[in-house]
Amino acid sequence: MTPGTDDVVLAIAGMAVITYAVRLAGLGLARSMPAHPVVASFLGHLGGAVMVALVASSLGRGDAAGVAATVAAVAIASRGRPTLALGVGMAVAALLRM
Amino acid sequence: MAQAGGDATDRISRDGVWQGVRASVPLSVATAVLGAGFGVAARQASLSLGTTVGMTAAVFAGAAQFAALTLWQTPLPLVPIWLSTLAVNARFMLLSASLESWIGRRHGLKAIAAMFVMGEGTWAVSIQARAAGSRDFGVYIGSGVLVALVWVASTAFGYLAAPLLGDPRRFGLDLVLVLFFASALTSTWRGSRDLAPWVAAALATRIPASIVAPEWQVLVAALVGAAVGAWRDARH
Repeated sequence: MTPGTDDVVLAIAGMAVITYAVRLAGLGLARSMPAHPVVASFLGHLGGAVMVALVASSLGRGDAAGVAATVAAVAIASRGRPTLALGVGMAVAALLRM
Repeated sequence: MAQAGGDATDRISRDGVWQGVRASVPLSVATAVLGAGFGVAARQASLSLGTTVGMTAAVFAGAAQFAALTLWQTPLPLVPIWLSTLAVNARFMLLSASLESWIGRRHGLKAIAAMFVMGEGTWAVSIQARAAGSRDFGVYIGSGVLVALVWVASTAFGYLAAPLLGDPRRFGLDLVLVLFFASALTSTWRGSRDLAPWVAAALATRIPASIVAPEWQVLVAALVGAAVGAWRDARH
């Protein structure tokens, strides 16, 4: 069963408005006062924390090939090759799943 | 923070646009892989082609779109989807804020319109061009438009090619999102000040589902991590 069309349009419209508003808010923020240091620090940590949470949440499901692929990708990406890291990570997972 | 003259861009030229396009070729390859991965993942999550391409074109933020897919079910949990979009994309605020000092007020309306395609990749290309001395806002536009086209086209391609690929797990395509974030984390790492918030965020994903429902897991873990980071910074 798929969600109703109204809900789908509403979900995407909301996502689009929120995302564009956040992008614009940065311009507005920089043009008005600098944010409170604690707020700036919180926002500065939010991006990395979201990414860590997404990775930890996915790897927590116990997929050994996924963990191995991630370790390989991190090793290569930390040497400044993010595109290669994606490819090698996928190849590692593909090999382990054969 | 905007300065009159000085740091602000002076013009938008065709040369600048081409410079942005050329500087974004490696970025486009990564975007294409990610876009195709999103198309496959969206088909797996039972989205229609129209919904998939519509989301990609309207939202234009890969991480938030993947996050929304993990919540996609019937009935749609609208508020969790929106909050997750806000949480995942809150970082854009910092990126566009840092671009503002470069753009200045000269291209007010154009800058506001251009924010629609603002993402990490185009932001990074623009910052690098600025560091190299460019004063041409065309660099940003060239990069942003190229990435937008690649993103939408590769998403549609991934969606349509999904049945030919068979089980996307065979190629590790189901891992593109995790691999992308894990790779991005290596350049996001700012040293020891990130250690405590990252460990906290990772541990917080282990909170039992009886306390935090699965669709809130990532959001709660991220807020815990960012709070620990802000608390740590305030003490130092």
